[in-house]
Amino acid sequence: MLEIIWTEEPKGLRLVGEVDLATVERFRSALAPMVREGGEIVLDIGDMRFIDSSGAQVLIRALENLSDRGRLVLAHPSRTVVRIVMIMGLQRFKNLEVREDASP
Amino acid sequence: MFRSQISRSFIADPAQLEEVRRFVSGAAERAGLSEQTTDDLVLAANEAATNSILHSGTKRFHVRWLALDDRVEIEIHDEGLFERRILMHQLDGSAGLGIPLMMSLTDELELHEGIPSRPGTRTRLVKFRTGS
Repeated sequence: MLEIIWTEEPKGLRLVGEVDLATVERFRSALAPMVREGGEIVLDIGDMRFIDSSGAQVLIRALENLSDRGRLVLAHPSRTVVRIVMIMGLQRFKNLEVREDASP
Repeated sequence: MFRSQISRSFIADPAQLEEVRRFVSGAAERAGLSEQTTDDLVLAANEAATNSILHSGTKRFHVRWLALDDRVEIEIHDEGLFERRILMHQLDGSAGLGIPLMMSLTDELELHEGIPSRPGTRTRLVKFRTGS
């Protein structure tokens, strides 16, 4: 299950639930117009409990397409999401920012 | 030493993946695995099940969980054929990351491809217990 909420300030999406084979197409099509437009896109993933390799591939494609036209911010990532970002080497993209919550 | 084994069958439908993940995380919790190990196993099993649903043409697949003293094993077994093809990033888009991801997440990965004379692809994921 995945709920997608469009946000204006900051421009982006809030993703609640899980990105997998059942939901990845909706994630892809929600992100696509923002990537075409460019600029900074903030994905609030504080309530995204899971992302699979196809979801990570959507992020990779977005980062490639944005290139120097824009950047992607992953805000409030869970442990699981940070893990897949690291293991797939997404941190190598210069236009990706993983904005972890400051520890108290 | 044998400890515990659980098996469950699933219909090959993307909506079932959530159930597969719940099955694995529940078993991992009962086996007392760390959060990190649990996450890795959930992710790896999800990729194997995704492959069965997407590529094998199977109607059902089976997940077997085996917890031993030194390791846990998850076997994902379908009734289909393994599509043997080299994936091209430019042509295949999001496909092709599942197997390398499973390799990075596990300590051992074994793939038995289903072929016409012996259908059924079997993926065995092994993770050794760490610490004490």
